[in-house]
Amino acid sequence: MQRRHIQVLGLVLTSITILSSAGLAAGDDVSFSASVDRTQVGLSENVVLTLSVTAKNSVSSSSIKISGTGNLRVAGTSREENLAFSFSGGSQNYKKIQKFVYILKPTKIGKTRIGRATLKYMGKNYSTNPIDIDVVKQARRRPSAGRTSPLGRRFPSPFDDDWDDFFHTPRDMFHRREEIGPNDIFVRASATPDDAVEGQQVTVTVSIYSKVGARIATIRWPKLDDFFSVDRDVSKASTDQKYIKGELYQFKVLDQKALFPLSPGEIEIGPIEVEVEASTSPFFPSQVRTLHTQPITIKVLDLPSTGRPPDFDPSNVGHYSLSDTVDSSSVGLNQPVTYTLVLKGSGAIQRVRPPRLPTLPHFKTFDPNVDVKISKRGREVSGSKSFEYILVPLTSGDLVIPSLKFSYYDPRDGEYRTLQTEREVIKVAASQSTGSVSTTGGGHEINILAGAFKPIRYKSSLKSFGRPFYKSSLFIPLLAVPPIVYLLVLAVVFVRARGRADSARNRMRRAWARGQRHLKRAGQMAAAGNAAEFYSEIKDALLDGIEARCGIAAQGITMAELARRMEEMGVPREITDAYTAEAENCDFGRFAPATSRGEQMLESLDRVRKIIKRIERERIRPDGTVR
Amino acid sequence: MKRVSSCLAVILVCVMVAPVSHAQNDSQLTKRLLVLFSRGNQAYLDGDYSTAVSEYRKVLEAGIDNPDLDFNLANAYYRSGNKGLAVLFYEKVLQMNPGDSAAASNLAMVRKELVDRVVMPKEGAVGEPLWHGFVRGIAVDWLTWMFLSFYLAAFTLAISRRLARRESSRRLLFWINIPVLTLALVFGLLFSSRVYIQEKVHHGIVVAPTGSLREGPENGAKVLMEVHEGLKVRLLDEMGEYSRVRLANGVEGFVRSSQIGAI
Repeated sequence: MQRRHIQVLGLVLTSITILSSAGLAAGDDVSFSASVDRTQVGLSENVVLTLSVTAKNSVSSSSIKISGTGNLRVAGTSREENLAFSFSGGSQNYKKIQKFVYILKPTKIGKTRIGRATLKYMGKNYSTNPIDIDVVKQARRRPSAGRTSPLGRRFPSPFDDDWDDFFHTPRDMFHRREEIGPNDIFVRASATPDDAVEGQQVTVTVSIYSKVGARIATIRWPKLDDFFSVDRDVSKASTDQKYIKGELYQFKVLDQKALFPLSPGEIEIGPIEVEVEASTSPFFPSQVRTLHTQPITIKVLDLPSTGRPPDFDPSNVGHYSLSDTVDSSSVGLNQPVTYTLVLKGSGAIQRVRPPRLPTLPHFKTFDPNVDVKISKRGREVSGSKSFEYILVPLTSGDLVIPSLKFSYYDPRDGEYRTLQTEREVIKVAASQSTGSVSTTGGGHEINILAGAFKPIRYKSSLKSFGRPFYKSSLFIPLLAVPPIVYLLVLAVVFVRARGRADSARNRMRRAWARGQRHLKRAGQMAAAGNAAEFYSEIKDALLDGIEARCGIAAQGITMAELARRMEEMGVPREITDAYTAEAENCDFGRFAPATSRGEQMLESLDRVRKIIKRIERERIRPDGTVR
Repeated sequence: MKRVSSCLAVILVCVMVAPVSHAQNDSQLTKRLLVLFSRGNQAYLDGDYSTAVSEYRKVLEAGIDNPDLDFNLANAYYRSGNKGLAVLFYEKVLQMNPGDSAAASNLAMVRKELVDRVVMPKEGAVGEPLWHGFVRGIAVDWLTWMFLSFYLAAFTLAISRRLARRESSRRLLFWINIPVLTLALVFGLLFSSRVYIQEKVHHGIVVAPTGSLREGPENGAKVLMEVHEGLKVRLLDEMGEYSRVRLANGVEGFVRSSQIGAI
């Protein structure tokens, strides 16, 4: 997006410069010119005629007339429009630069002429000069023959190296033809980079450009004996569109190979052959075409001799990292140990020569299990190469696997580098643990499993895998307990909140509970012969009893007032009388305790209980109604 | 009285000795199975794969369901040329431990040698949904514990919030609980999907060298295609001697149940 903006900005600025230099910015001048990209053209090639109009207003294509194109047939047209701004005398002016592009295809060999082009604009006529074109059988390739375009850029040939840069955005009109010409579909190969050192990756990409429908039948590469070749996966490459010489092409990467030169020198990759079935329309039969890319020359340089480590192998070119692991640092005698050496990075991983494990006198070693993993996609070949060595210790003690060195040439930095692994020490116990299997005498089995096949497991506890945990008897309780606990907590919190609330109902309930406690204590006091305490308790029991039933807070009011309120609330008169009599009796007992005997206290307690029970039985509501 | 007390003493001794003798029996059995396993390994290393299979199977038949045993058995089957059973036991290992790279590697190698290649049709494929493969790749016990951990943590935080006296603590616990609850839900969803697959989506491997995929559960039914050992199929139903199966590309048919080993 940014690139496009820069291009647009560049175009605008270029236009401003052109207009300023032409002295057009200030007035109402109209400029009308014609140009061609070449004056000599092969019979199979095209001529691009560009009619440029610079004016304030847009010009329609119908207002332009070309008197004739001779032996050139119009194969396609397109149109481009840009705005050019200029500042003069403090005011801003603008012009429109409009380009009408005609793709002309020669029909006959010989000299021909593109006639005058006439523009009718604001009632005035403007015309260009005729242009002579020489049509030959096979035109010599040359960078440019005609005038440069108003933007100072030439129209490139499809096989020019810089044509990738030439994208512009015509706004309309694209006409297709029924016959398939050589410029309707072609293939192109590119190499990145085109000069490399021996062993460095060069990516060769084959792309197709087509204006017609095409199906790829086969791609045939020339012999690549001078390279180690790795195919890249371009199956996910998407089809794109590109404008070349004002014509729209479908573009797609067909194939890609990563090539690693095996020797220095100039190596030419011959034409790559692509067989396609092309068709202009699904209604017409397809035509089989064999297309060829241009040959590519790659300059391969020698690896530098300065700083080359003595152990360097020319296959080791790229960018790598090296690591090693031992699966167990302490084992029993004759128990196998797996030593893994892993080389990771980018380069010809398959070809790279890692350090070899030297002869280890205290181990029985087997051929390594080599595993190569390569990224299939992406321009750069990267991956890992691991070497899994099975080592069987033959003696007990601390056995050492020495540090290994790996040298490679890094083309990114242009330097040789050396990597080194850590020295590994394996403690080998004299005795062998139960259940393990000796490999002595059966060494060939490891060789049988050479390759990527993973060998059998020597040790196992044979512990049954068992049922999954969600099937165990503990799982459901574990699931059920949290919500149950949560609900209980919610209930407790709710009950506690309600209990704490100071409602009339709560007060009555608490009064009843207090009354019951007073009665219980009164019984104890009677048994103890403590008359004063006894009467105090049963008086409180009476007061709490009436509060519990009628909601009357009896503490602090006179007995007469209490009796009146009891009557108001509909407590039967006889109960009220008995209640007040017993209350007075209590007062008497409290203030003259010496006159009370045990039997009297028990009788009094019994009467109080009966009164409270009667009050309870009457089911008096706090609002005074009797059920 | 003396007689009663001696009876009680005998019962007490029996109660105390029973677990010990049971443990001893277990230990003896394990030792015996380890010896069989070692013998299997030795036979394998000697290249006597049929003996190796026979020894490993003895351990298997003792009720041992162990990934190491299944892996070795799969290797032995592969070496003895029985690729169907090799695939079946590698799949079993991977079902127990989806992260077993050695089993996955060997299975991939064996698969390359199989006859059948199931090609997905370009359109209208009704193969296994992608999420099945994703969820199947996660160990069920790991998912169970992850789910339970976040589930318990979420409830603990919720209960603590209810019991907290200070408003600031309640607010803090609420905000802490939101990500925990989200993770509990995510793992709950994964866990339930995994359990669904474990319980409802069953696969099998064609273990017979060749078999016929038929249109119906009868010997006379039209043969849709020939299937070969090692082919993985989804088991949908069992009808008499036949199992209704679905291939990875959505093609359904009936195969003799005896020709398929359930994973």
